[in-house]
Amino acid sequence: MINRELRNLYLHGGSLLAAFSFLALALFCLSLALGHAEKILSQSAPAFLWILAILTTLFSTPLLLKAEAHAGLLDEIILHPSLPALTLLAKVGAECLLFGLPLIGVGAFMSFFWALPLTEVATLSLTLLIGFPALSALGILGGLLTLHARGGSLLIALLILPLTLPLLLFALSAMEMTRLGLDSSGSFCLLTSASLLLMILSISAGNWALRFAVEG
Amino acid sequence: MLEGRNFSYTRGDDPLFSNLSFCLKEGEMLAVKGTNGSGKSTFLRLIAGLISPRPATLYWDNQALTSRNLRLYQQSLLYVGHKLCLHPEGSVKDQIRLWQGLYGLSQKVIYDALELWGVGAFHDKKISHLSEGQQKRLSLSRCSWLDRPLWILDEPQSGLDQTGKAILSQVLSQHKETGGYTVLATHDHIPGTVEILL
Repeated sequence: MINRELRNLYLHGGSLLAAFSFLALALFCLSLALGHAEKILSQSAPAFLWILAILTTLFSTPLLLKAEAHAGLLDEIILHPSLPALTLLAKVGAECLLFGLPLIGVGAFMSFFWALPLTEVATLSLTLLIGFPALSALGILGGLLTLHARGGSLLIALLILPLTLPLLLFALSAMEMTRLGLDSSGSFCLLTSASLLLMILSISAGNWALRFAVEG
Repeated sequence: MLEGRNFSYTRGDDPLFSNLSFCLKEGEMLAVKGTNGSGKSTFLRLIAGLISPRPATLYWDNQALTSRNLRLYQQSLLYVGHKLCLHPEGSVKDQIRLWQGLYGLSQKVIYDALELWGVGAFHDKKISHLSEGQQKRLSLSRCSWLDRPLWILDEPQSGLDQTGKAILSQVLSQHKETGGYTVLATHDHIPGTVEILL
């Protein structure tokens, strides 16, 4: 099922590349803008990377879903023998592989320009690895809820963006703990729990929202 | 047997149709007719279970459909709507691979069906570069490779040329002969169908 969704996402390559280019360019601009203040850059860059990851995922995933809905592919998900929730989960898996992993790669690559020590690079990558599935699931939920709504992006900002705050806070807390040389396992536990909870809730709600979206 | 009792649907404050009933036996075809905007597509989506309220008034094999058995019923049907369920960004070959992954069929079965529908030669073409009629043929080719007893087709003839219509007619006849059920929205007269006017 993930293989099928990978193919599906691969066909949206243009939109995916555009979202990814936006993220990479924004990070590059940040590095240029704060290049002279190395200390501020190394402290704030992980937070920027996380915020950009949240914004890019929440606003690009709905566009992909809109394209699928326009082609009638959401009907196919409902009518297919497998459970719609499993298909949504496969979409999350595919997005993690095609967007999440390159995002972590870019984060790790840029970390060297931000003069982050290796331990912090590892922590940053791990927080993204844990948090991205929840971001992707939230993006799918937002996309399905606002599919037929006017000003969908604004609604996503109002409805879904606040839900990402626990992920952001726990991820940055883990980063801060690592930076200070303290034990970050507590923050990681909270981040993992929040990510799992948000993913389960988003997929369950997405299952319902999919029917709602298909009905138009 | 597919039976619908007292189908009603209201869009906003406007009732599209009310108290429509039908009964379809093996090998029968139901043609849903009506003017533009009369609710033909909505009627078809209701029968496919894509629109709630769930058709508690719909019976499949003498069992009323509820949220519990709706998925099982949906596995027995093929729905081809106005939206053709094709990936416009991909090529025909990509679409075949997607179908293959979705339904676990061999490529040969799908390619044979594409040959029958006259779109087998376009496998390298991007779907968005195909004409409306060619896209319609590609989407309708599912009738030939997906083995489902109930077909729900929304204006399958629209966009098809005479050859396409002839292939469709032949495929519909074969389905009828093998005891399949067909519900289709149409503006044309199709001989041997039960008709409902919306």
